[in-house]
Amino acid sequence: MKGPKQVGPFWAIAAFVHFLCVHPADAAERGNYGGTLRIAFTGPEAQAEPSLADAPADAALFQTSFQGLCRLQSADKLQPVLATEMEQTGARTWRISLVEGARIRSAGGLTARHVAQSWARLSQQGTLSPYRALLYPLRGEGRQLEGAILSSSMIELSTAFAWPDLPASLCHPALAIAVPIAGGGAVGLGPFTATSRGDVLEENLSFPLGRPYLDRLKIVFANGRRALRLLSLAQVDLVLGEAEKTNLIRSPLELYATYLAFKAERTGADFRGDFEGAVDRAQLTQFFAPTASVPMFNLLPPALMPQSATTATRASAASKRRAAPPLTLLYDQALPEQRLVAERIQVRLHDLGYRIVLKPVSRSELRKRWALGQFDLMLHAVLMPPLPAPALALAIELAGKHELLASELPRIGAEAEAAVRELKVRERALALAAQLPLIPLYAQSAVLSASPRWYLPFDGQGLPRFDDAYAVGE
Amino acid sequence: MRLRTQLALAFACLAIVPLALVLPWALSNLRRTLTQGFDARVASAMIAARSVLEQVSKASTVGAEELADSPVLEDFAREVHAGHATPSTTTLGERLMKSRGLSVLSLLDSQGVTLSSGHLPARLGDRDPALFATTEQPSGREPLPVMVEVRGDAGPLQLPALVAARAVDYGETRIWVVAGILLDDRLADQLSRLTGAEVTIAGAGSALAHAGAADAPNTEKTIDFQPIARLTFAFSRAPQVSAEGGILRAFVLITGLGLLLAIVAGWVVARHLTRPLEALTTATRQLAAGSLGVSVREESSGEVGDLVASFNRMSAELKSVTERLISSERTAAWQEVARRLAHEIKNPLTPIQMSLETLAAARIAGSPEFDRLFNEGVKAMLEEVERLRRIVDEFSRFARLPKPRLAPVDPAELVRQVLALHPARPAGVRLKTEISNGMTVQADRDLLTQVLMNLLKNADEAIGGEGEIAVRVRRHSDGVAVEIQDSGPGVPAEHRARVFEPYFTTKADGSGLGLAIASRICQEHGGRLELDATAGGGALFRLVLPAPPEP
Repeated sequence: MKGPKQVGPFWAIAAFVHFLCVHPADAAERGNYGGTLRIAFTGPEAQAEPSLADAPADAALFQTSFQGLCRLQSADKLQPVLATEMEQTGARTWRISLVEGARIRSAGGLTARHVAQSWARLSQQGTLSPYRALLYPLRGEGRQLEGAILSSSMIELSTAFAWPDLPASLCHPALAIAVPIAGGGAVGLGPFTATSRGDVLEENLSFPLGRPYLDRLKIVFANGRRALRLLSLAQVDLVLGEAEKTNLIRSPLELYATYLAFKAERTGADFRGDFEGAVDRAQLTQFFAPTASVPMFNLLPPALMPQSATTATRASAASKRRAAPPLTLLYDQALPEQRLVAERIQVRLHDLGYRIVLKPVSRSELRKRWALGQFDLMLHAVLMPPLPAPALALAIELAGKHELLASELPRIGAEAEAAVRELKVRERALALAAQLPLIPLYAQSAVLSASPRWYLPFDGQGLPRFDDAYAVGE
Repeated sequence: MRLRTQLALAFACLAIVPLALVLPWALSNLRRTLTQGFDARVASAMIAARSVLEQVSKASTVGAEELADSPVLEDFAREVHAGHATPSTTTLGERLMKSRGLSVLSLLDSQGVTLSSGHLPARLGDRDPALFATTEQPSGREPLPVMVEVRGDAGPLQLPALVAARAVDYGETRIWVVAGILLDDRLADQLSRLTGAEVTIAGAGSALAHAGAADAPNTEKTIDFQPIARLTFAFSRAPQVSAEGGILRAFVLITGLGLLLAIVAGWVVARHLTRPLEALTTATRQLAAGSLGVSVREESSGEVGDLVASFNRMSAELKSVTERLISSERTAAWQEVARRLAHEIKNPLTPIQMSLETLAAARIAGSPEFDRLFNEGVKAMLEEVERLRRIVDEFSRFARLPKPRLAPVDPAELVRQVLALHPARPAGVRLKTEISNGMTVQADRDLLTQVLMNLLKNADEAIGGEGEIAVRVRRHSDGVAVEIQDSGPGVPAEHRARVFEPYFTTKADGSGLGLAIASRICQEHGGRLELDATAGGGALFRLVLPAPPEP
């Protein structure tokens, strides 16, 4: 693998800690091939859109069938998956060679056009995604990738400004290759392949990295309590998305960041100060946010920058707000914890005179309303890349300030040293925090409960890697 | 008013009066019965509502006690004591609340901070002074009414609830279980369906929950949960009012139908009863108008039937008698006429016979006076023959009186014409006329002229050349009257009834047929000739002719 520069010690420590958090079995031990891993999944039905499958449990399951050009094996180590090579051919140019002969079920061989079309969806009307910020450094903001195709298996990407973190950005799960098919849905290429039985994923023998250890994954869709009950009854081997204290397995990377986006012209100029005075993030994560969540005070989660708690401010007069029209708080109906968080925000702000109506919507609807700016308040969660610079780009995009990327990213990308770049990012994150209509709430990692007989590693994105999972014996 | 109408109205009154007397009493009784029924229903419903609220109260107490004694709370208390707080406590309250059928559940620490809440999980970690205040009440007391913050569409809202508090102790850690039932729309709906009333739960001056509907007018009952809430039950009296109205309408309808039937029945019965009487009335009028032999053919029984039969018999007899009388009168009249005629003819025959016998005797005797006797005798006989001829002519004229040829005649003009034709009167005779114009009669002009001439001649003869004759033409109740009045001696009372008989006369040389012919002519015209006495002693002859019918 060529190209990416070395990352700082932080990432090395993170990688070490990461390996400690995998199954108690010896990580170096390789288990037997074969077997069926029965997974109880607490999320909604499987997504077909990579940019929507970004909640940790969703992303973990999505990756089994949809992979991108690369993945982060650890925070500082890129592993090509559908690309064989990502070569930096110039100061701002990378040439990417795709795996030869890789076939996508129902879509033929993998081509550069598939890659271009897949990434272009992030910037298209109707599928506009905050993850387009990951492609912003590319010329044309990643909207004109057809011109970057050199051949059916080769793409040459050029950035508009220096952006050393581009290769790592391309490994984000939201940039997984998904080819739309007739009748709706999409197909991709991953270590497992969907079968005619919707709940079974079979091993993909032609996966570029080799077949997985497991023969198949059997998915059971269940709510949290039922999933845990199935685990206790040994009817499933793993619960993805829910965990009890006794057998909690979590990634150390809390990269799934939840924010409260707001429209200042609707909420009023005092909203941020009122919120900070009313809502205690520690309490939020202790009682209302999901397991394995940590308070987030700054634009980037604690995994990417040290946190500085904001001071509570004095609330403005409640009387004039009572006469104002109520505000609508949109949240993801597929995430049960967001209902609790939304209610907590509602009641705390109610004490200050805000009238807030809660409205659960689907994730795609949430993204649509975000893209159109049609909301008063919104709980919006994204899976941050494990690198500060792309994460800041994503946060700025999430705040709806796309125009700021043009001024912020070049300044950051101009710093060649990763550590310096990281400091720059923190400085800008602190400076931009008050400008952006985005209030950070908490960050969470992937959580799961598993039977002891299974080994399951995590990748550099903090997501479990099922293609490397195996049974460790009786 | 006709008898039939009277009978029909009498029938109707007979039918209406009882109904009219019964209706107010019945309505009053009905109203009282319905009101009693309504009041009983309301009382029963309120008993049921209070029973439900007692169950709610008991559920709160039992719920709190059962939870306080449950292993779940013991485990929870242990975790709190150990300082463990997990996100699962966020949903613990909601799960416990739903499993116990409660709608309020808060687990509070000894400072009143919410450890878990079923009705508003988002308040975890916040103090709840309202619910914590209930923990200050001694255990065993009835549940307390308290305003509770619950989930609302646009944020938390306050609803009243009945809550009970119980303590759970784990070492030095005390946890309060505050459980209860909301007085919300669901309870209001339950109470509304149970009582059939419109239930409103109000607190702080505003309606917090509402269920059901009660059309006005309605009766309200309340149950207070001071100072938090008041439950108002509105029971509709509309069905009762509707029932009263319906029954009143039915009564009115029945009364109307009854009245109508009574009128119809009365009319039918009255018609059945009065038809023979009406037929009798008609027949009587016909009989009075001269239709002899009219009979009533209506079938009837009883007294009316007897009356009808009697009338028919009477009519038949009257006809028979009248015919006999007419025949007798006609025979008598002809006998009288024959007698008079014989008398009149006999009078001239006697002198004729005497003259002939004298001549015969003189001839036999060879009297030298024979020539003188012959001339005297012939003269006398010729005068008597002339007299006979006059009698025969007048009789013939009376017997062959022509039918009048009727035509419109102006009586005023006719009278003036007759007066103009009348020979000039002596100076001592004053003629006074009062003639009204503008009348017309159907008459034979020549015959009427004859009558008027006869009456004027009689008047002249009555006053004897000295006196006054008044001629009047005026309207009469029976048509038109022409009056000729003289100031003469008048007609003696004993003769007034006979003046119009043929051959009756008080004059020495009268034929006795003039007034009879005049009377006959008037009768032929449909009128009559009358004789009245006057205050001054003279005679007043009145010719009454009928006016022509209206076009």
